[in-house]
Amino acid sequence: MIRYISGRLAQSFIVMFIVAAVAFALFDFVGDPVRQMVTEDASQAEIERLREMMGLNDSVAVQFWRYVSGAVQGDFGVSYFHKRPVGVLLQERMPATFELAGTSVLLSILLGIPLGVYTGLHRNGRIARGLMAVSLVGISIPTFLIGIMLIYLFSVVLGWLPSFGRGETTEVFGGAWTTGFLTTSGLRALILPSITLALFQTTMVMRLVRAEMLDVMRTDYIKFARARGLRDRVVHFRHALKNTLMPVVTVIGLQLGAVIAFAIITESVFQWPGMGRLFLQAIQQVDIPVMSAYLIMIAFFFVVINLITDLTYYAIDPRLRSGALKGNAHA
Amino acid sequence: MRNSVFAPPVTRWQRIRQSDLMLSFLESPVTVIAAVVALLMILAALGAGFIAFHDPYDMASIDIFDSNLPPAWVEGGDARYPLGTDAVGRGIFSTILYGSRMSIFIGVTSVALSLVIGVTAGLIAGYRGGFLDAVIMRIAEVQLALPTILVALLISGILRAIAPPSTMDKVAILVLILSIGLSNWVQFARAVRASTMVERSQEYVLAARLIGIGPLTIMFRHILPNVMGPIMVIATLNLSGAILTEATLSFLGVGVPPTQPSLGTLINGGTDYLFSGSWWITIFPGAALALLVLTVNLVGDWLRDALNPTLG
Repeated sequence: MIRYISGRLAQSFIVMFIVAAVAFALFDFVGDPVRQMVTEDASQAEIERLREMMGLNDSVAVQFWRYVSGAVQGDFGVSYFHKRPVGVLLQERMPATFELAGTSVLLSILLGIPLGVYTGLHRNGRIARGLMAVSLVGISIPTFLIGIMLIYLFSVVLGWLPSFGRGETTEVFGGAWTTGFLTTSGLRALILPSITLALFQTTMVMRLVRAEMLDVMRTDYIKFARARGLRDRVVHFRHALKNTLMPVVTVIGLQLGAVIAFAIITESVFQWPGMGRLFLQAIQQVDIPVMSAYLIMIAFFFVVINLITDLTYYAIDPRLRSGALKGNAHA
Repeated sequence: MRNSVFAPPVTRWQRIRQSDLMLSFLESPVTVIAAVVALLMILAALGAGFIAFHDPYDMASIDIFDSNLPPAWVEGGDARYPLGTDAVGRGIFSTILYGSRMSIFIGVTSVALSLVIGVTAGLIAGYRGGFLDAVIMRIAEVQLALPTILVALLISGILRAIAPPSTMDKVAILVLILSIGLSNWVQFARAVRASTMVERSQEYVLAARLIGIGPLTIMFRHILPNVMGPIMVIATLNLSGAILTEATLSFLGVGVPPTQPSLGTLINGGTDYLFSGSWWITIFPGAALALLVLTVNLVGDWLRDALNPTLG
């Protein structure tokens, strides 16, 4: 067990190292930062002094080390565009993205699993087939279009819900986190963006649970459970659903990363003040410190989520613990 | 009925008509409709110059007095503009045609790029194996873990950093094709690698090696034709994905420059007018995009099932 976990940890470190190297290399593409900072009539000596002060004359390895050790402490440099520390910018925006992504994932689980079970059990029923057709159409409509349509319907035509922003937010944990959960306007502002973001994940979860249910319901132990005279409810939920959860947990785990990525689009449609919009602006303005920091953050989320998913696997599936499926841990 | 052994088809058309693929195609009405709709949309986009009522990007052909007209069937609509006009008087029907031409062009070229990269990487990884294989597949794995849109955004950000800002408008489309193409090669590589590893030990490959044919020729002339099935399926499904990614990136403002029409920029441009009630400027290009993606997806799904019954 210790060997398995330490192996996974080592892999995660290698991935993070590579990502940090890519993020660091990004700085090379924009040319000499000193040229952009000094006025045109700056003397060579001045430029040289600034270079020395910024540590640009050090070797690449030393600079890389400085960047990484800064990043570990949350210091990603100063944004070219906002002229403020990137770490602070990210920290300000993080609660917005996390609350949006968290709500969407919760929504997609609460909706996707029951819908998946239903369509799986009644595969030829009229409602189930209708749901499947709707989900195919849902996958084909891009996220941003769904957001726009929701805005048009609920904000423009009906005027029920706000179309942009986060509403009123409250500071909690001594100002370290701002939340929209505590005010009515915050909750109202959350509805449309979180539905937009959740729709794609919901169809994914639903289709996956359905496919797994179809597979599991064909197995012998379900037949035996029925033969024992167990009630349908027990067979469906205690026996069948429980055994579909392995792949579902994995996919939801992996999808967490995708949700954060898709949040870029949703945040852009709803002008949600999160990290995704910060990153998008950074791309448009070629704001390298922000881009690099976002890259590292996202990679870190992915690595942590993958790690947790793998370890959850390990906890759920006893076969992994006994080593029977060795080498298959990430199947 | 499929026993064409007894009466061999004569013409090429008959051979196509009686192939298993064609029969399975005709048996699925949804696919036939989807294929016809997709084909019509692609043809209409290609013939935008002939079909459109006017060239919406020719200043002489637009009239500012025609701006913000609703669709023809709505009160106040104009028969010359069946789907209404936008804020400067361009007909929505015409802009959709020009816009989808750009979207389809970017979709096709970026899929072609991913195909070339992915197939080459997959052939080398599968045929050579060893260290090269390990390196290519590790890169693929890391990239596959990240959503396409994020990879495309990152590549686009890096390319923007390299290109001087003044040239950005000129190279924007190239940047877009590169970022979508580079973010989609992995699926091709994985599928081709898997098939190549099977083909590698087939007798015809061994025979080719025995008579001294070089590895490149074996890979591209001998193995490649035998792994085309999955490549076709992935290319079709990727086309709809690439069109979606193009629209999304353009919508986000890092794709096609706003001065040029693509489905994404049209939708993005229209959102400003949504609040004043001009829904048609956004909704029609959006519907065109969704329809195009849905029909291409349906054809791709059918192709996957038809060529690979075991995948079901």
